[in-house]
Amino acid sequence: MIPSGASSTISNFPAVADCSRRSISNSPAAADCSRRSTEKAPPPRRHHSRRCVLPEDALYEILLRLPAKDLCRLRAVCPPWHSLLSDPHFIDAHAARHTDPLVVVGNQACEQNGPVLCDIVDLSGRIVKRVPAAGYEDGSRTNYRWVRFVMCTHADLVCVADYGMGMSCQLLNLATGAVHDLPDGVAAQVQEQQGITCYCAWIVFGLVPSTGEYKVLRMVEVEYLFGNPGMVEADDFDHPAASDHCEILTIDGSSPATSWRATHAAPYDLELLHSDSSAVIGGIVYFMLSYDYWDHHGTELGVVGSFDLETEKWRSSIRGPSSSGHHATLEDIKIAALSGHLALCCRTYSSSTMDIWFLTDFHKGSWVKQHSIKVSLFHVPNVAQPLLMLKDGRIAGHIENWAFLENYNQKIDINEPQMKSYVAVGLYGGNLLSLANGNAETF
Amino acid sequence: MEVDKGKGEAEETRKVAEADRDTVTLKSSDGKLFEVSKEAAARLSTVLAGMIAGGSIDDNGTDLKQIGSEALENVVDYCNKHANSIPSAALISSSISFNTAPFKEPEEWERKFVDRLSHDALFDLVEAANFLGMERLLDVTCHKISEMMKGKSPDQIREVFNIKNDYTKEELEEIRQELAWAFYDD
Repeated sequence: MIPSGASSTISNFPAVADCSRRSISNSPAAADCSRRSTEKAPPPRRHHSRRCVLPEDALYEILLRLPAKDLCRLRAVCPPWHSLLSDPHFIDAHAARHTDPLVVVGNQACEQNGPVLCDIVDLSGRIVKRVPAAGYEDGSRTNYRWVRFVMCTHADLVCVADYGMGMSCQLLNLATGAVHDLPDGVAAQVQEQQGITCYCAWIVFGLVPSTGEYKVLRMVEVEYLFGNPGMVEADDFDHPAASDHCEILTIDGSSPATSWRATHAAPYDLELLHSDSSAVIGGIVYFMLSYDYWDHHGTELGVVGSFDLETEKWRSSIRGPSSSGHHATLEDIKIAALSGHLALCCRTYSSSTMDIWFLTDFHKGSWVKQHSIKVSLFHVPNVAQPLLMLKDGRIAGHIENWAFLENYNQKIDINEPQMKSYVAVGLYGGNLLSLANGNAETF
Repeated sequence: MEVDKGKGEAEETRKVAEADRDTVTLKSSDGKLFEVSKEAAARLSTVLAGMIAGGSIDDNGTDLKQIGSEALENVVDYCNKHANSIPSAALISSSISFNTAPFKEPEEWERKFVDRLSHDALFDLVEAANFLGMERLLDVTCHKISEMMKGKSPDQIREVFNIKNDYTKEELEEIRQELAWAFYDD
């Protein structure tokens, strides 16, 4: 902050002191200074006798301009700088000045059993921060030939799971690098069953706004090797009878979550093939319904289902935009959270465009077409999933393992396509300068 | 722009004569005199604008005891160059939103203006700009210093800023481990 009414200070030139003893207004740096030196600030020195002595407001302005990575490194300069650069007021001011969005790209470092690497990438494709974590440290687990997937992101948290094969799930904190193992095993209710194998078919987590807790919702596919009384008999060993169970885990940050709780099964078939077939907005998880489901029933029963993380109840399904009935396959429709809205991105072959519809009223099921993007060959065969809308109208998103920045007809890759296995892309909602984000700090 | 509207009718003759001049004379801490456009000085510096409006400008050289001749020369140089290059409307709008707006990129000539300065001269100019309430010049000089700091190690920054390393080896190692990601290159 620059004093504007400085005329009154003309005979009162701001005291100039070494940076190492300097305190910054309204920052805890002052407390640290007292420990370093109690002598009075030296009188203003002339420019021949010293270097690099800056008024505090100017130093504050200079530091505010630096990227987060530089600032984190500069915490090692001296204790007063460390205090200033960790001060919540400074961090907020920095965030207000540096509003460019960041994207989390989750990579599988090697083909199997390697640690998951998460990169925080800016929109020019530069890796701002790389977080290596969530590998198998326990040697016994390497017997599993499963592959880990980055499933979803929120603030500084990333959920990693043995999607579709195992049961192991972890939350990774991008700020601290800490890895938090979610409880092994399944809910007691499921466990009682005999002769079953389970795997995590889907996992998603989100913040419950009213309580500040995180809740993790997962769908467990249970296979009954010898058939299950009361259910469809297994045809043979290759096609065992199976059923889906939904489980929930509450993470309130104060005590470690110990076990999964069984919750109601979904009242409709969900489409859980792609890592991008769900979206979390304001404590509600939205899912694409299975293509079989809405194909067989027309659009009568809707294309989007949802689960309320607070009440732990499934909500009624909603229909898609009126034109979505024309879509031939599920490949042509994607669900996304865009600017805080639920969005459906629908590819229309006839016009070579991708329409982005926003849900404006859940109860009425009304959608408004917000954007119509001309699609290039690049988009074949899948519809891209947009991540965010920039102020100038550009849209950043990803398609399979490519992240891109779309300016309607113009595509710019933001992440050089290295064709790594199993890449997931999400919006980064954390702050690189802060070490903790709410409940995440306990992980 | 009229800067002397607030002057009373009964001003002394000397001051009236001074008000008619279109430059003001500034005196550095080491006694050197510099002439600067009154319009530019009033527009770019809240302190000088206040002094001009309040009639506290000394015709024989207004004492600026805290600013050395090298820094004052740069201030005057900047004011005179600025007088010809940026319309005041743009400047006013940039200064109103100074605290919240995204950083305004320096103009090409401003970039060149600060690029030629040594470290010491640049830091002195920041101090002078801060003292004189020259927001735009502070913006330009702070931008330059932040550019110089990018990618530097804590050791390099300590040297440039003349900061004593108050950390113990253990404390430093702890920070390095905690923020390891910030210490390796892309």
